[in-house]
Amino acid sequence: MLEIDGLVVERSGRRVLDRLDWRIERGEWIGLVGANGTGKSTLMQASVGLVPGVTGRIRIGGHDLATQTAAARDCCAVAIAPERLPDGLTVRQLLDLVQASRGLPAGAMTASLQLAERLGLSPWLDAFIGACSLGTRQKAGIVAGLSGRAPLWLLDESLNGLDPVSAFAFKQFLGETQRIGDTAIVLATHGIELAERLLTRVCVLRDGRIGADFDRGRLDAIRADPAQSVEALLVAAMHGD
Amino acid sequence: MSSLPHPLTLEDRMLARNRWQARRALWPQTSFIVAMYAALAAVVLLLWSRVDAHWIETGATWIRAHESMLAFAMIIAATMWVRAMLRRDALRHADSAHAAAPVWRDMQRRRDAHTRLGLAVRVVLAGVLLIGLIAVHDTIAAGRMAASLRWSVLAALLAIVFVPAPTGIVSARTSQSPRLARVSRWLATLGTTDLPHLPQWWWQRAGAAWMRGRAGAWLAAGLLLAPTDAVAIVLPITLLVLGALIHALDAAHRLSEEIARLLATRPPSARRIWRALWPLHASLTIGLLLLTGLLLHALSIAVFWIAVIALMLAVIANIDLLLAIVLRNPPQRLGIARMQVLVAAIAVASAMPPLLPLCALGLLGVLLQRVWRDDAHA
Repeated sequence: MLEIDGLVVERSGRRVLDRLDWRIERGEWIGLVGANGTGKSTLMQASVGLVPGVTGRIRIGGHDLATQTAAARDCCAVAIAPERLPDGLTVRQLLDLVQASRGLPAGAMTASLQLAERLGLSPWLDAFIGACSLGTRQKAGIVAGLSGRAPLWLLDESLNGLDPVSAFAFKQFLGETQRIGDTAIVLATHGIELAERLLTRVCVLRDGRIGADFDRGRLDAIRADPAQSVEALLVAAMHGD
Repeated sequence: MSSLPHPLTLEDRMLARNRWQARRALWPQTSFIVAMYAALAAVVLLLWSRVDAHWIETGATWIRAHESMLAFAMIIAATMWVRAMLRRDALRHADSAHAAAPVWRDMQRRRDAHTRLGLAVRVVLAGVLLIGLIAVHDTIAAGRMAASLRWSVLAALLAIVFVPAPTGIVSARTSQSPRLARVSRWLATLGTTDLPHLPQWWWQRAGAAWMRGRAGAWLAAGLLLAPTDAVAIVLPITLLVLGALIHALDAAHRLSEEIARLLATRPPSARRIWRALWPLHASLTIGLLLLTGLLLHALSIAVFWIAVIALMLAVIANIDLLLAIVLRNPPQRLGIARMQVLVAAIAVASAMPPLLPLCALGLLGVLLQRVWRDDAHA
């Protein structure tokens, strides 16, 4: 679904991502973890062409991001960061905006409203985004970004700011979507406790590359062993042990 | 995908619709602004009608003599302008909520065409306005000016239509968090929902640039009206100050109710509110005092009395703000307190006028003390 080959990103003379290779398939729910400043957000943004000055090749759904940008992005849903949301629109207008510009069918709005209901966003649908709290904006960004049925979902720390009830509902929603099997979900997060139970694969970003890759089989083996902890192993992997 | 609208176009339409609804809902504010701009236009027309026709003839002659140079300058200006607009559009999209959304080639082409059309319409309207203003004085000169200017306008239009869009916009971007470029959120919200007459970007990006632009326009108008003699210095500066003051008063009018509402709902202590508000309050008060002083001076009132009136106004403005801070919750208390203070002031003024300034200063002191001591969260 997502193929990245030799991705290099430099910022202020520092190489944030260094010849990074990565493959993601449908049906996976991947946790992208790493220490602060290791380039998780940069990788997420570079994956949809939002980072200037990158080298390397990125393909989404078989489309080359550099030459077929619109087609590649059409295969991809990105949760919108709260600070990017337009203050002067209501949450409902934001949903309309995203869906109209993507040419989504009317049914997409029903699905979005259902997700909004699950996340507790319904009471805020007609509120101006600028008047919403961080958590509500986060929810609005998630619901708007995931409109439609794109086969690749990119979520950059989307659990930040959500209250426990909404966070639980969102994790359940992601789990259900993953089990259907036609969507690849990438969640950049610091919440590595998710890996104990929910994620099907965890990639640790270290020194500008995927330093460790825990696939489903390896995760299941660790989970089955009461003497081992996924969380402890991920922390060790982040330290390079 | 060819029929899909560009996300920026959709967003602009939605924002415009929201702002129009807000303007309708806040109709007293809208009426005030319309009246303000109508008065400004009347003043400008009045001043323009008094300009010596000789200067217009001189200007028209200069334009006729430099037709080619003017057309060349228009091409350069239009090229820079259209490229700046397209670049701004692209950067705005890159920082927007729909930055990662697919933008098909047809969508982008239509968006660019829309931007270019907007610029072309502005250029034509500016030309028509210029000719119209000259026609107020001298229709023959206006006709000659129109004949000279048409090539310049045509050159500008051709540049607007055919100049290619700048490339490599995203790679030229400086990496910067959108949060850094924004004013505080509540102020931005105020701008989008409660103060719909200010341009949206003013709140989000460049309030200072907006004011500089307005000041520059006034200065240019002044220089145009009086290009020689001592008036060339005095008139532009007066117009500049007047323009700035009118904008300050305009903002004050629109902010007053909102400040009262915010004070009723915002949780911080009175001292913190005072610290946040005093720069705005001070600038608005100074603007009000300068304008009042200028008006009174124009009415030949003695400087002493102007100073007394200005001092009274300053004290009243500060008492009002402090009352609003101290009695911010619930907001109904503020209205009642204002009325009580007004009645008391009238009573004191009619019974013992010399005591009025002392009472006012005393009240100011008490209120300042209340604000200073209130350090707990309300």
